[in-house]
Amino acid sequence: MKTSALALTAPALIVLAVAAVAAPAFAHHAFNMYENDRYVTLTGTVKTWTWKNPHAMIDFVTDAKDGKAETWSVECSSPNIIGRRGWTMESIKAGDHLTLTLHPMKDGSKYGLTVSVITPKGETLKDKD
Amino acid sequence: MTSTSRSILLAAALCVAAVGAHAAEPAKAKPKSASMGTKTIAGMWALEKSEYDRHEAIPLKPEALARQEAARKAREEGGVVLSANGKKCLPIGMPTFMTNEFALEIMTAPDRVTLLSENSTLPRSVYLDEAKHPTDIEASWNGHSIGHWEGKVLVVDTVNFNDRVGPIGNAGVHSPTTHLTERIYLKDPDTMVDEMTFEDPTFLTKPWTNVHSYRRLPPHSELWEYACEVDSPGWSERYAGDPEAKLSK
Repeated sequence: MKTSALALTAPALIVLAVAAVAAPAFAHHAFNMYENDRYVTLTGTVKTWTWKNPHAMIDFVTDAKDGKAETWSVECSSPNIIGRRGWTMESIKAGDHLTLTLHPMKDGSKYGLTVSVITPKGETLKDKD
Repeated sequence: MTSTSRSILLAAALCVAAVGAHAAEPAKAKPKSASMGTKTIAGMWALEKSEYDRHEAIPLKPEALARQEAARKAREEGGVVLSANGKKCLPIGMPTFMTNEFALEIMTAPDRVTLLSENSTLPRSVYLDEAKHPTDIEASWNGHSIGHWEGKVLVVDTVNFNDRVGPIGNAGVHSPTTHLTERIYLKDPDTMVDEMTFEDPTFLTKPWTNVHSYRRLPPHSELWEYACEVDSPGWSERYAGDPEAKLSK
């Protein structure tokens, strides 16, 4: 692995990337609490970027609309998975302003599954469909 | 004639004969395998997502469908996020070994094919030197696999799954009565396919086939580590809603 982050203290459950619609009994991790057919695109600034198993995580604050900014937590796939698709520990850092597309939670909380990120360098990084 | 010159003549004659024999063969269509060059299923692979999600519903028996629905409700409405096995860092088992998105390494030897998944604590072995499954072994997470080559297609037969996984997942079934047949081959030099056919008289109304495609990872790719540490700090806060999640600081 390119970085040592994976080998260090990886807080991890066994992650199974599974089809969104038919929530499987095999999976450790359910995805049917997300609106997997809905896409929300936000722009904002990264508070923290966590490159760890079982999930990389982006915490960010949206650009204020009508004076209101929102704090979101967005979950990415395991670094083992997205690390093979062009993501690295260096892809994102705190303070980056980026465009993030996600599947939101069904319950309306400010949490989602990462679909894609456009970094300040203009690079598009993809995760879930 | 000396023995040396006779040997040379003989060798030369054999070479000519060999060349002649080759040239004399009628032109044939190249077998599909020839277009793969020297590449085989050995190497490092990753599941292609676009194929992964695209399969039909499993033909489940009514009891099995009801069980699936109850499990779905528990997850969606009961706040269950972590599976029992996930909480204990238990092996993922088959078929998930082959159907998750973590890197897969395949090693081929004359008597067996060995597979490693970043997401599995257990390797998977396909024995090529056994015609029949042994009858006196314990049921297991990956089942017992025997196989043979049909040309460049690895045909794998797996039985003897334990009852610790599933039994029903979106990628297949895993139960003591499951019989899984796989056909694993290269579609092109950098694309591998695993056609999985599940038969299970307990849960399925008929055999069910799904097909997974894998892309070859770049040369010199390595298996990355993945450590399952259930009680490590730093968990996403939302898992705190899982009735069985125990988070420690």
